[in-house]
Amino acid sequence: MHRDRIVGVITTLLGAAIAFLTATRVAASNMPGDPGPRVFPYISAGILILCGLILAIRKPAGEAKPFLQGVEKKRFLVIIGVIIVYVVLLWAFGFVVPTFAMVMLLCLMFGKEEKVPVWQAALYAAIITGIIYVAFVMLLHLRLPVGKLL
Amino acid sequence: MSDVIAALGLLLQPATLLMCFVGMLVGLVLGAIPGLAAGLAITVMLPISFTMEPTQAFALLMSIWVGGCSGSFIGSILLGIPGTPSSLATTFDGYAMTKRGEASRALSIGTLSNFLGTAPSIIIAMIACPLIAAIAVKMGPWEYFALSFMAITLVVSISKGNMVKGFVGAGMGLLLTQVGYSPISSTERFTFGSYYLSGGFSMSCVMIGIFAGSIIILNYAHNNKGPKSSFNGKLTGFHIPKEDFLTNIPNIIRSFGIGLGIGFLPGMGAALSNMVSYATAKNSSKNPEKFGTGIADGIWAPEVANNASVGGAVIPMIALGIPGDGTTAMLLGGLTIHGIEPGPLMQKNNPVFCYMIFLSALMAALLCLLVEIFGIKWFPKLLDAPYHFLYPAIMVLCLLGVYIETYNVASIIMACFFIALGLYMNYAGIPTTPFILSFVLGGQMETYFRKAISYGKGDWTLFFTRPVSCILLLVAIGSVVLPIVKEQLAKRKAAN
Repeated sequence: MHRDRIVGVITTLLGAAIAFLTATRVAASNMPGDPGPRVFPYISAGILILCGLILAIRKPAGEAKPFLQGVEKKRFLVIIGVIIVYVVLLWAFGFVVPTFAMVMLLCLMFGKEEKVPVWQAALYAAIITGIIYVAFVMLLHLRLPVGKLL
Repeated sequence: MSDVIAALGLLLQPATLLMCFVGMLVGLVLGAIPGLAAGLAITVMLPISFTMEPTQAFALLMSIWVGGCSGSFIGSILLGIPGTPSSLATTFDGYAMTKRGEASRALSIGTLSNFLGTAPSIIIAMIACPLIAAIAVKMGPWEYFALSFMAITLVVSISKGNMVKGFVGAGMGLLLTQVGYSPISSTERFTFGSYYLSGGFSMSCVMIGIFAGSIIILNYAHNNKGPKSSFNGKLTGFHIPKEDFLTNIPNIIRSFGIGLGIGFLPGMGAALSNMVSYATAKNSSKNPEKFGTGIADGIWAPEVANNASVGGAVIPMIALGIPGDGTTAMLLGGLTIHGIEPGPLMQKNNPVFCYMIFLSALMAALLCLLVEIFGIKWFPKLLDAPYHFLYPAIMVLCLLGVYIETYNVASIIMACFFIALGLYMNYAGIPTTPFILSFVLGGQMETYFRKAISYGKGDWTLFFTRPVSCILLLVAIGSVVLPIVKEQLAKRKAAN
């Protein structure tokens, strides 16, 4: 199926779900003269359903360019995985070690073709982690994640 | 006048000046590097600026914007690849001049054009904003609703190639403003009982997800690292031949007008003004055939216009609270983060702060001019961006930036949701500008709409019987209908 049609179907379903949730979960206003909190969700749902149907029904203009090809899919999944792991580690172990590891890993990943040496990536990661700590905690008096498991 | 002097006093404080300088430098560097933009820096700095004094925060954000608009011409001239679309037309003559061995001349013209575009346009905005705001305070919720609606439809109508997808983006942006408690009646909507959703989605989460996170992920997936600087020529320093300037004064004035006017309109901005002014300069020239061969006129026109758009875009942002594009939407979001309500009353309630915004932009333009004049020889270095160093730092700063808003990892998870949404929008070809504009304006649009209906005791026709509201709504409807009618007529013509 052409990508525009897929997007059309998803958009229509999203709009329909919003209309359903609005009708069943959003309370109507009891203020006199007020159109109520349901109007805008219905407007949003209407826009999405109408545009979704147009996208799903009309003839798509030409072939869609592939979103990701071959090795790109692998790279895409790898970086998504790295970010998810970082968020989990941030929650579990706090700012310092996960941030150092994340910056170093991303630096090596982005610099694979330039053959960035590991020591350079590690040094850069240490500098960035240090700068963020100094700027956020010492200068701006902010808190960074401390880790739930520590 | 006393407000301006008070604002100047704030600006001249060392910490504020430092923010102006740092912001301008960050914007200049990111604006120069193809693939990055000042908007990215504003996205990263938005949550961090929350902890600063509003004056310092806005000195930083405005300077990033001004620096970013200025820096994009460097790539256009030295590589033939614009840093951002706002300097696309500069490549035609700027790069031709570089190939001829006149890179210093081209860069010097670009440097001065930037200042001649930005500084006067900010001064005009400074004068025009109080006047427009004074008129705007007389408007009611009908007019404000119509104005916000018009801003969104104008942006949708120029969605590249696909207006339907522009509307999908606008619908999604509008929908996301409805998560949490509704305005006026404080009814809970789409929170699914979650405490984290009851306050709605924060501007930083949305911006970081849509603009920064998804872009970095896709750049890694596509292995986009931008061009390496292939410039091997010699740069001699800042120098503009007198005749280059004197013969182009009418061109500069005309391009300035075009940039200011286009910048004022929602959705247009620097990306359009540089092309329009280049085309106008070419059409008005006695030697149009020389355009594209490396003439000064072809650099003055786009560079004055795209920078004049800054002042043009500031006017609706400050006077009306209406953003013209993604960057101004972020700046408006920044105002909200600092508890300042954008709109016509802002000028009345916070006059010193408003003038401080203008003056910091002026200061950034001046600093930019000085840095570009004295740093012209280092411009090629800017283009050798170490992406493998920049992207990891930006990614980490983005995620930690949203954390400090609430001190809860849930904010980071929310940002990840918006990264996923940004990726989906990229897959689906849904433009981000209508989405962001709807997200920024959606909440107040609903408030105005419900107030208008309540004040009119349920009378919907007031939207069309009040002249200003009617005109704005007609423009909004026309901006959507006319392109469709034009397209149909063109199809019929082609079929016959």
